[in-house]
Amino acid sequence: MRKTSLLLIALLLGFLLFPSISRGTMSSTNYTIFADSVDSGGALSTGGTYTLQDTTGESPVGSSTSSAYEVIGGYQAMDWAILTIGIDTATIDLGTLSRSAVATSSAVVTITADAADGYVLSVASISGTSLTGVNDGEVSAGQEEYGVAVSGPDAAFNDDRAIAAGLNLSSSSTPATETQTTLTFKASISSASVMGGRSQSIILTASTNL
Amino acid sequence: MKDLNRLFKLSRHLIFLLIFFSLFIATAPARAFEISPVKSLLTIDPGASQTIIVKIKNTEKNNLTFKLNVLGMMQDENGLPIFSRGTDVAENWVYPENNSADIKSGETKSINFIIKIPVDAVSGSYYLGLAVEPVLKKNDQASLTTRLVSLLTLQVKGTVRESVIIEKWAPVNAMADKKIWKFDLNLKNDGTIEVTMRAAAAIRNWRGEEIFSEPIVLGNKFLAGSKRVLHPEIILKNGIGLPGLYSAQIKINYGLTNQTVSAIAYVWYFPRWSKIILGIIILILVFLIFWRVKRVKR
Repeated sequence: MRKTSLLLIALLLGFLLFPSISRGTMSSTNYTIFADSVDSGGALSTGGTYTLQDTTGESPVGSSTSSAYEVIGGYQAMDWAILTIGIDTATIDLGTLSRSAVATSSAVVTITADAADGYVLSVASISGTSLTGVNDGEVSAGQEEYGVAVSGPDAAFNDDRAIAAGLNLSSSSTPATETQTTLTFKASISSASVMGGRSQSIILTASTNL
Repeated sequence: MKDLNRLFKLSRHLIFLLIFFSLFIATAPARAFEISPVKSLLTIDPGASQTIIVKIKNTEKNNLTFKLNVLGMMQDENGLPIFSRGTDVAENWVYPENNSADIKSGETKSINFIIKIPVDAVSGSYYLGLAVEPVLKKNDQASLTTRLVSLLTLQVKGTVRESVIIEKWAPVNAMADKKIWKFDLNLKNDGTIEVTMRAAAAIRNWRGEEIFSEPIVLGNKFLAGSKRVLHPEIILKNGIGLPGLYSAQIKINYGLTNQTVSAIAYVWYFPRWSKIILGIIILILVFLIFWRVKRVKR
């Protein structure tokens, strides 16, 4: 009897001390895309099943309370905002590397995005050969490290990062006018670094934000 | 003497002009170009064809050739777009009329991208990037190039499903002593279409009484198949003072079907003053036990 009571107390304490951290529920409802609502948003909130309705040209047709809609044609919405990119150099030359100093070279990317959602600048792809990517946040003399630092009003980080596809360099969720992001490429070598040249091609991508 | 002064003034102006031009050249961006539209949305029938136009303007002083491409688009955990080839089946449904375009300096050209949806395309959203990239000359030793991408969302006719899952909703520290509670929130869009979301977190005491509720920012549109990682903070209001077990329930309302998904996390709250009082009580107890033991021994 005493043992059972102790067990019950222990269970109760366990429940109190370690409550379930997260108890999620999930719900989902099927509906069918209704072209008119995609652009205007929130027009259909009655739930249930809907049918995708295309419209002729740019003018959406009226909706109905029915769960099904007749397909009429194509509908498209375009954000005719302008996205401009410029870069002040196409070549990054880090010169001959030494063990006593970090070699740096910079490029300035200028972006204008009059879209309401702003812009995103990131590394799209890299190819070629390079040194070991920095992983401690700072390219330091005497160690084999290679990375990039960014500066500017929309800079995505404030340390040195290894260059990899998908690396976000700068972004803004509001329109930008000639916003400059300075990319400073940094490299250093150690006594164990293998002699020889390295060259890399980097493609930067800019798009509007989602 | 006057002539000498005039000559001196003239040379000063010349030097100024030279400095001005060198600065201008140094700051004028190279490989500049622009695109429009930046974003498009098309609802389209399976089996249908359509054309979408992207305008490219060469704002550089040289004539340029631009390479045209279609990329798949995903959304990263922060809600930002990532583009790559081979991630979306819809990359094969869209192609540029020509693979490249020659555009003279200062001119704008409209490029057609042709969309052909297969008859058996599954209904839902597909996310693509229409990429424009200047082609480098062979003697150009460039190692850094830029690319602009116009976002394209294709919504294929048919029944689509809205579904958001809360994969994780947990306090960073299950035992809190500060007035700011930090949480980890992981979401997944398990549906076939993007959704907009709004959320609120309600804090309740051990009796289940709601003390306060606070809106939680979940970011931009949540694309189908994406995951999002957030670290919301809840700043405690005056209603919470006593130590004890509190629950934090997050409720997310999303989509055109106006659905709600929720999750509960628990936090033991022990403010600093309660720890001090507890420490004093323990000290008193220890003292009393020690005193009693000593008294018994006598």
